[in-house]
Amino acid sequence: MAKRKTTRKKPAKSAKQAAFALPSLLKGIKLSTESESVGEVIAYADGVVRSSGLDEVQAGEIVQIGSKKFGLALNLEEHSVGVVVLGDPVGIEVGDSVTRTGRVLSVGVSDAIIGRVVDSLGQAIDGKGPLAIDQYMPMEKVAPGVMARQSVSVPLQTGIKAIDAMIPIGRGQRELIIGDRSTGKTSISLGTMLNQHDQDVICVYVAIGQKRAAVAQTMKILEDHEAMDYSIIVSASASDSAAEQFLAPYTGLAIAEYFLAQGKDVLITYDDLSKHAQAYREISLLLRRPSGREAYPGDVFYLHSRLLERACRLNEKHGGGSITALPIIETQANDISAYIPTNVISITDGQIYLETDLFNAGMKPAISVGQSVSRVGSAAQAKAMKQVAGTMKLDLAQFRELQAFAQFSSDLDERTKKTLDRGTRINDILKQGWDQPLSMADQVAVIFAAVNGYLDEIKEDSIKEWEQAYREYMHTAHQSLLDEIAKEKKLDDALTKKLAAAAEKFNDMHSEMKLVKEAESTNG
Amino acid sequence: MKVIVTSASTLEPKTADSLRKAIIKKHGQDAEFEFRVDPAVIGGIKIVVGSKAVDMTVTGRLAQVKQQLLNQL
Repeated sequence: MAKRKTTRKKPAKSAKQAAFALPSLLKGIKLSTESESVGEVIAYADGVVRSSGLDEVQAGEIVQIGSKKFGLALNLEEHSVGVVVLGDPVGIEVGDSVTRTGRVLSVGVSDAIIGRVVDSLGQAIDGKGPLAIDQYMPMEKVAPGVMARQSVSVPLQTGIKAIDAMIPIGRGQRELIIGDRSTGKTSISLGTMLNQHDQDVICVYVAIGQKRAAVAQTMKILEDHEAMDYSIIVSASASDSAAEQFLAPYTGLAIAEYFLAQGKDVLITYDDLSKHAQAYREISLLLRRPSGREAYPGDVFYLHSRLLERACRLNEKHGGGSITALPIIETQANDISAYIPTNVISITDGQIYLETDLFNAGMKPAISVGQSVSRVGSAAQAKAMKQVAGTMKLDLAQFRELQAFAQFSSDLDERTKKTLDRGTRINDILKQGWDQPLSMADQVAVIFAAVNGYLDEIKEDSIKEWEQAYREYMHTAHQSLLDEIAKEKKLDDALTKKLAAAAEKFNDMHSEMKLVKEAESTNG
Repeated sequence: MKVIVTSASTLEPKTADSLRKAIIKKHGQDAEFEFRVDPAVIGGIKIVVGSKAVDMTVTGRLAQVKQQLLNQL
């Protein structure tokens, strides 16, 4: 024995240490002979095990099936327990023992999870090795109470002009992104994540029921923009079981709460909750729970409300952190009055409504300003933004009203024409590439020029060009002005004058973009 | 109530009988006994009464040792 030890070449350090420590470790072991609550697999079908026994099992407890598999006890009935199998069910046999573990679902988290991709049980799936675990965070938890919270007061800059100006989001808010398939819902959430690079916000992206290729693409986008440095992806893709898809949002939230406990600001995106509701419907039907409207179970509202209630802004006494939630809902044929959309609309603090027609007309982001609201975010909006955006909503509302009307008649009076021109330009200025988030100061400068009529004299097809050139000009010639806006966060008289002068000077320098005035051209 | 007794080899009639008596004394007359032989338990016995189990097998003990060692790592 001793000889073998000496001839063996360098074993791994930890293994060697473990071997020396073994006798003392073994001393610490206590064998117990206690009776435990057990059961037996009676039946298995479609990912659901029916187990006998398990008298003392708690709802939501993890149970062990056989020697290696785990399940979640969801239905406690008189003679049996309905257990949803977590992971691969292959190998489960009738008669396998089912034992209690006494644990409820939790996720192992540490700071090292930033930049990783995990599954709905918190295990790394990005091939970069297992995660270090510092703390176990429970997946199900009661939302922070009234006394621990404070109202939204810090803005969450999305970097998207249309949102930051008209539908502002605050840290700790829950803002729904809703729209048909491929209207740019994910793009808005990704754009928002990209814009957090200098905002000291940790982002969690939860992909539910998506194609693996789509998740890989999302990861690549975030990596290319160096956004993975502060992001985490939780993925339960379409090929994962319904149980895993059902758990994924809670996993993401548990990770977010780990950082919340450190007093940090977290942004969490659920992409999307329609698939989450469908996964839960599948589980519920397999467990033979009574079904209600659209075959969803009775507690599908609670499924989402308890998830979104955990988004919060804590007061200073409780660390002052926040969790901002951006749930995504996919509608069918713009029907926002279906069951799940109405549920989530009523839970959240506002919604960003995306329309296929707008998208097809080239309006990107395809935000329908009329139907989008933010119920609490304006309290957090920067003063400067409020000052410039105040008139914009009104201008746009008037524009839309006249636009429909103007289609019938070509003979318009001067004032109507002016409103229409202004509206078209403001609309154009709100178009923005999803991966080109702008800083608050940039947005203020551009919107200031639009609402104060500096764009009225610019040709309609040059608006995009104008914006690009104007921003470059502001950065090269008036950087100090932008810095001041970013610092002061409001426009006083002096700043307003400087902005106006800058816009005017820029327009004078770029007469090639200006409209040719009719009077001048006929006379001259 | 169903009672399952698992051991590595067939229990001696005397042992089985005293076990039967002890369980009936604790849980009542309606116990329905099943004696199973499973070499995988290595040694000792495991008794399941209804949904309560007491594991006194070598395999069960080893599993406890393994779990506690893993917890200490």
